[in-house]
Amino acid sequence: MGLSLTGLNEDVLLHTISYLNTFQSLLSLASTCRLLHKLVVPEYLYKTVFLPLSRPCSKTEALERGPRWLFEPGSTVGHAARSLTLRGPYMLRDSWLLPAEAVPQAMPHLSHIAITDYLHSGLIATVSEILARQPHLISLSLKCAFRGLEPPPTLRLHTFDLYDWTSDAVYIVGHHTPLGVFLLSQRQTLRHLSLHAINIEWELKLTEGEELVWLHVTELELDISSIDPMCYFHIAHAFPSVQHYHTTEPQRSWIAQQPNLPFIRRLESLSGEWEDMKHALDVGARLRRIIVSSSDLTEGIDLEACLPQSIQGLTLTIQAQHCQVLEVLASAAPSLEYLAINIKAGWHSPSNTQKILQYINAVASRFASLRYLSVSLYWVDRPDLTAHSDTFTGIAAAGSCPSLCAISLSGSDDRELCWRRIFDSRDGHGRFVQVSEEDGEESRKYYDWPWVYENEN
Amino acid sequence: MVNLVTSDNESFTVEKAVASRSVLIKNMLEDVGESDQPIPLPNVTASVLKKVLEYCDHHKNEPMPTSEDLAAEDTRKRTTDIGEWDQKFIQVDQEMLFEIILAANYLDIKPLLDVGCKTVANMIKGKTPEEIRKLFNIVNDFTPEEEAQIKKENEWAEDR
Repeated sequence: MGLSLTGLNEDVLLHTISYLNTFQSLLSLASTCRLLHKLVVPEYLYKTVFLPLSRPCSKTEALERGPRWLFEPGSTVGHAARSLTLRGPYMLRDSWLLPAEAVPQAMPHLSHIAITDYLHSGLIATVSEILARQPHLISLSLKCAFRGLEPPPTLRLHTFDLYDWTSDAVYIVGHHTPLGVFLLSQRQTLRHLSLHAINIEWELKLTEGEELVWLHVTELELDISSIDPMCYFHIAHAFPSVQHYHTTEPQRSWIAQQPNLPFIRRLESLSGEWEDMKHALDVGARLRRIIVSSSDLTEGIDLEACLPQSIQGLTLTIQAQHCQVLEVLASAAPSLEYLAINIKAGWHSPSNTQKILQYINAVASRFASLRYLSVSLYWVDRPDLTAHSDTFTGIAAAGSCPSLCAISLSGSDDRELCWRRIFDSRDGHGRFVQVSEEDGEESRKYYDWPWVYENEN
Repeated sequence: MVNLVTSDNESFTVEKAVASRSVLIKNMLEDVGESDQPIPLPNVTASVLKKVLEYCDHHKNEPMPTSEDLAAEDTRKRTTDIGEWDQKFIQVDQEMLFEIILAANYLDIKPLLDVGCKTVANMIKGKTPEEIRKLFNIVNDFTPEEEAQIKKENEWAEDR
């Protein structure tokens, strides 16, 4: 009998396993035989611990006990865990509240914590307590009300992401508030900083003898109240390495101020509205990625003026009845590699899903270098997206867009269908095969922001 | 030109640029200097070396990965995307696929090792344990109790 998978040496098997990113694939492999179980479980299976309560869960026995079960002595999970994600949206039951005292001991290598959509009065106090005991953490993402959060200044985070859309709490980032003190302590390590809330007031300012510079931040989103000019705070000086920025209404005039123009000129990626893109290009920014999610593309917007010829990544939002505006996209952005289109259609819209997808196909076929296409449909007659798979995979069969590597299609229910092109013969354009949502997400990240992805370490 | 001799005693004469895609051979050439001596490859058969050299020839003009590239890759999130030519190249039967992987590992050709391992990973993705066993001819050596234990340990994650 010839060579088989289990006949490969351990190094090669571990290298192969390292390319499996989804829990289900890792669990399937670990469940085949003792050898693969021994290789997969200790280092890989529980690297990413993901606890969603957003979908109905049938296995209530384990879940009723909550995540405490994961921290019991002898649990196989803790030692391997590098990333812990809790995702709602749910009122957090008391049994689900993380046992702050047990987390550091049970998950000694935890480096990423992400909590989304959980509501519980004790949550933030517990998170603060965990942070105080988890010195190796490099990434913290909280998408929930974060009032009372006190991260210890001894942490050395790469990613700090706070997003509160559920409350109107006032958060002050000042020299003597917990958030301000923490941000000042992270000046040497932060790479991704994202603050979103209705009332974040920025009061940090240049003071004598203190260098107010976050040297390594490349991605910055400050969705905060406008900064008082008396603060003497200039974003261009404070964040000299930013490549991606997200701008919002309160900061629009602030960002146009003369001292901040060098900041805009340095950007490679900008998220905002179409007028922000035009402003950035007018002042000399050489944007490679543009993200416009909050305002619609309409006939009144001059794409040629808003898109640089060299742009590689574009995310836009459009009403279904205005889809014809996309016809000029390929000539306005001939180098595009990543295109994400959010399409909105009302209940009485004349466009149906089939027609919209055929139209998007025709638009995609005009590009010479498009690698990734993502289409999100909102409020479109609740389409059964799987019924439209053939429409999209037809792109490959027709060979009309040979550069395309991956496609995703999502509807209002947040579920995503993903395909990748494979070449299983020596000829032809290959064909698209469906892959899991998690694998599709992997592609999306790569194509959306490849130059940062390639340099990430 | 470089002369390579396989385990089944077949000899291949190839350009230095092609042979040097293998870090093992490149280091050997640097150690011995200019020489007509054949380089023995006792762990590689002729049929496998022929495939490996086809890969090396196609990629001979590409820059070699630096040690910084390799170090950065370990910490980066991994994508299983494979280029079009490489995908078509690696369309071989399973035994040859594993032989290529082992040869790439022995000859230290990191990009070819990656292509092979990504291909195997893509074959595993989305399959049930039984489908993986069938595909790779793996014998289930768990006791029923052990299987039940694995299932129980992972119930909490089943609906993800």
